[in-house]
Amino acid sequence: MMELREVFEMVTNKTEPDLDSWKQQEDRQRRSSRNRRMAVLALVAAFAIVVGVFALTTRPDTGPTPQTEPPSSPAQPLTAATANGPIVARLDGTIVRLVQGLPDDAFALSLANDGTIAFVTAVDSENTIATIGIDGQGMRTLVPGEEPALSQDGTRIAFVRNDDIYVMDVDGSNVRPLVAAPHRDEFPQWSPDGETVVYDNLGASPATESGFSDTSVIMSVPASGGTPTQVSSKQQSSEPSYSPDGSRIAFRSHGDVWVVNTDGTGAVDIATYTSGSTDRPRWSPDGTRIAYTDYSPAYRPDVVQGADSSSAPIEFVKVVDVATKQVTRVGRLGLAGFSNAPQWISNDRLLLLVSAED
Amino acid sequence: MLLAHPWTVRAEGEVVRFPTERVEGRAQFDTFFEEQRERLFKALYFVTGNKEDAEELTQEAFLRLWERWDEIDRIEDPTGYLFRCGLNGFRMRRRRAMTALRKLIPAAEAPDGFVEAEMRADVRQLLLGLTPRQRAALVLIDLLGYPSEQAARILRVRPSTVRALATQGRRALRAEGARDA
Repeated sequence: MMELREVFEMVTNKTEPDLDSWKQQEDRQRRSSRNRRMAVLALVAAFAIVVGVFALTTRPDTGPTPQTEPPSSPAQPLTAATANGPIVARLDGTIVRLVQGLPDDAFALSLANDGTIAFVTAVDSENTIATIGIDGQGMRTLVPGEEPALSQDGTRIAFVRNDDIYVMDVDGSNVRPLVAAPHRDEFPQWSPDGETVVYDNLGASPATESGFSDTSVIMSVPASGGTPTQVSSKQQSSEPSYSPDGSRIAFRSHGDVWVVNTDGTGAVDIATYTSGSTDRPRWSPDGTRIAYTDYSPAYRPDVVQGADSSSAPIEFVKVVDVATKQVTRVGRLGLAGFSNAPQWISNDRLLLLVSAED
Repeated sequence: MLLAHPWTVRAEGEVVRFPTERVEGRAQFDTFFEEQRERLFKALYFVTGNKEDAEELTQEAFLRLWERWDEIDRIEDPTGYLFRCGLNGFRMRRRRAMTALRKLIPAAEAPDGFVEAEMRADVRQLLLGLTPRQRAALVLIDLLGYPSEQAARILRVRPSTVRALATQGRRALRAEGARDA
């Protein structure tokens, strides 16, 4: 068997960085930067001329202006390019405001009814669960872990550590293991009454490159501890979440969003994937809609309006009507990929993490 | 020797002016740069199989670190941050390159890598049999010693995915060893 380190040495021992190329790169980029600035100046000048002509040829409108809720800050309309991080958006994609105070590397946001946000950030290079108010106040780092899920009343957090499910109080105290099954347990979510935690277990089949396992199933367990039970026999199921009345569970299976009764009956395919997969479904507070992320390998950063190409968002946010199965896209926002679920603030607003910047 | 430093220009084209008041920080950064540049470059070359890409990604990673250098005390592991930036850059650049390829030439194969490297034919064969993502997972977990949770975060995939990638990479190494025997 070849050792990785041996192969690495063989491949790289005669390959050195070419320092001249750094200088050449710098020259290329300086030229490119200069050209870009000239283009921007020309555009600004043209715009100023148009505005000036318009102002001279029209009278100011003194009539009443319809009042819509302005973005809180800044005064200019926000776009995905300026809203680099967590945002509050309407379902039409309008960004209402930025959510301040989270570290740049925050991901995997979870929102409770009291406005507490749990998320993951790196502390000493270790993924650590932290909390902050949606007003940006009172950030606390808690304990190492991933995939945090706040209970709806904001008093407890379920999370993943070493492939098992743990529960703790929202201040990081009283950490206790909840599920320690063979194979990976992941993506815990609370029932609305806080009595049950639902999650998925990967089962015996190893995950594919896409991270999904053919044997993964949805499980539930009393939040106070006990024996987990399988919610449905449907395999390749993951990322469950409860409906607000606690009667149904949405989850992802074979790339689609499904809904099933909590007793495992009545499974319905509710949102079909196109070329990638749908992920992390979350119910609206009134239970009529489900927001989820939609990934397709075809989505490119440059199709996302105003997106910073270096952040390369690759998932779109979509909302499906549970009764009609009609799907609409939330604006043209791109979501940071693979770890972030849309979080409902109200029936017409979502908390989203729109960038994958480190 | 004062080199054409990577932090003078952004990868996206915007010139970053060097803040003269940060002379002390610059000296520390120079030392760090000299210590880590070759190591990062080699890791990125191993992942990308392309010298130019590795050089540009190395440059971009140092630039990102420089931008945060005045708060370096708050970065617990600057080397880890540097490698995260480099491999993150690789991930995003590769996605852009792949989508561009798909758009222009639907059936195009990615070009062979490691053309500059002198190595045994069997090692070249082995490396080309691994995907860049598998090589990245191996570098992070087996060479740099990151736990799979951290490696997953860098590559922005699930922990189970990064473990699968590393397992596939190790399996390929084993298979190549078996053919040698």
